[in-house]
Amino acid sequence: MKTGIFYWSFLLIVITTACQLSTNSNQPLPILGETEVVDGKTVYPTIPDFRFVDQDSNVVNNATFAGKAYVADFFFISCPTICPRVTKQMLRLYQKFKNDDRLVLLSHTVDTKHDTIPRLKEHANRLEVTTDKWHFVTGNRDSIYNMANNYFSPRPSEDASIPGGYNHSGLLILVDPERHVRAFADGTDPKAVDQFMIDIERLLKEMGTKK
Amino acid sequence: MHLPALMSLGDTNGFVHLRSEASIVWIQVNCLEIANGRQYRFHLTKESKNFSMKIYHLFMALVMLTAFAACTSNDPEQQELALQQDLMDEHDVVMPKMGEFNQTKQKLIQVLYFDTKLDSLTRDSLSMVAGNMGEVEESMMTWMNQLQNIKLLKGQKKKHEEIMEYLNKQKAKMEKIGSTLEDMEKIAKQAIADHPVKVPGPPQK
Repeated sequence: MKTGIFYWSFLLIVITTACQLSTNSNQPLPILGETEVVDGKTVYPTIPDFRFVDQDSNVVNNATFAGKAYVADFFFISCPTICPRVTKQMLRLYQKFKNDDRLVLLSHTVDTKHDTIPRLKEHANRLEVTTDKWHFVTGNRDSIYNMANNYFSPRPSEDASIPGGYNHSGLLILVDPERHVRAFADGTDPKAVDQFMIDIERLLKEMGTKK
Repeated sequence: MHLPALMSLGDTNGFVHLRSEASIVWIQVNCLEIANGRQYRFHLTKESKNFSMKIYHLFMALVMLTAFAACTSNDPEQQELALQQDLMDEHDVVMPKMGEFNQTKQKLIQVLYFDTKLDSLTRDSLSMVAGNMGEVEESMMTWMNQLQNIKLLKGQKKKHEEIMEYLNKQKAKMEKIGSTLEDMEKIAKQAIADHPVKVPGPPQK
């Protein structure tokens, strides 16, 4: 009798968990940030216009990501602690989604004085990545910090495990083609990035056919 | 390799024996492991019959801390690594403040731009603060770009004393940048509070 109850309870837990997982993976990723109601419609925060220059001296702006999702982060080449760990995780994303044109990576340097275009190019070459898939951008330092604020502001306040200091937090941000922030991940934590990959796949699924 | 003073209590196998007056606690700490191979392994045994467990644990913790400190403090490589870690910890305290610092600087510039009632003396001093804040940002980035790690220093055939001196200087520099950053930010925040301005939003499309 006892074995029977145990057996059925176990089976119920397995089925419930499987259903939960299946439902979650099929549901669209939530749009993050505080909403506003304008003319009876719910409006989500969006990433504003930006304009930077990448390692190939190409202008990178919102149009660069038209119809695409992208993962953004903030780094600097001489960073001795967090950035190398985040770059390692970004490389994992690069490898995993290398052949999927719907996803691009965007790394902003916060050291605009020293991380010049040739230095960014050298950095990209060292990582053996291509510009069309991974843009390393520089620009006006204040503009980059302002963009960092915009990317991180939709972050839920209860999730503020790294209070302040976002530009040195190693956070990764997933942005959809409509400029909405859809997910965050701690780029220093491989397990968090595993989950982030699942989030990216959910977004890509929502976006439709692989190009 | 200098063996710690505590070893004078030890035997030829490198074990430190400590015995309480009442012959209740008996501890062995193998310092040779540490001195020779940088492995931190303590072998502890006890005979405890009538002694209160609380006192015993306190005593153990104290002895282990003393033994650990004594066994490691003379290893030059450990000293260098520990100091470099201190330096990195200091950097990781200052660097996350840069984002908010930059935003404060930008708000101060907005005060200078939009507060038309500022007298010339206040305007000049706040301009100087904003300029200095920009310089602090520069100095932080420049510091990181010129920083050399132990591996690089050893590659330049630097001696232990030189490496320690270099790391100590860098730590002092980082602390100086950190304190200047805090001072500047405090002044800027006060000025922003004293001169509230209405900044026009982005043009509507």
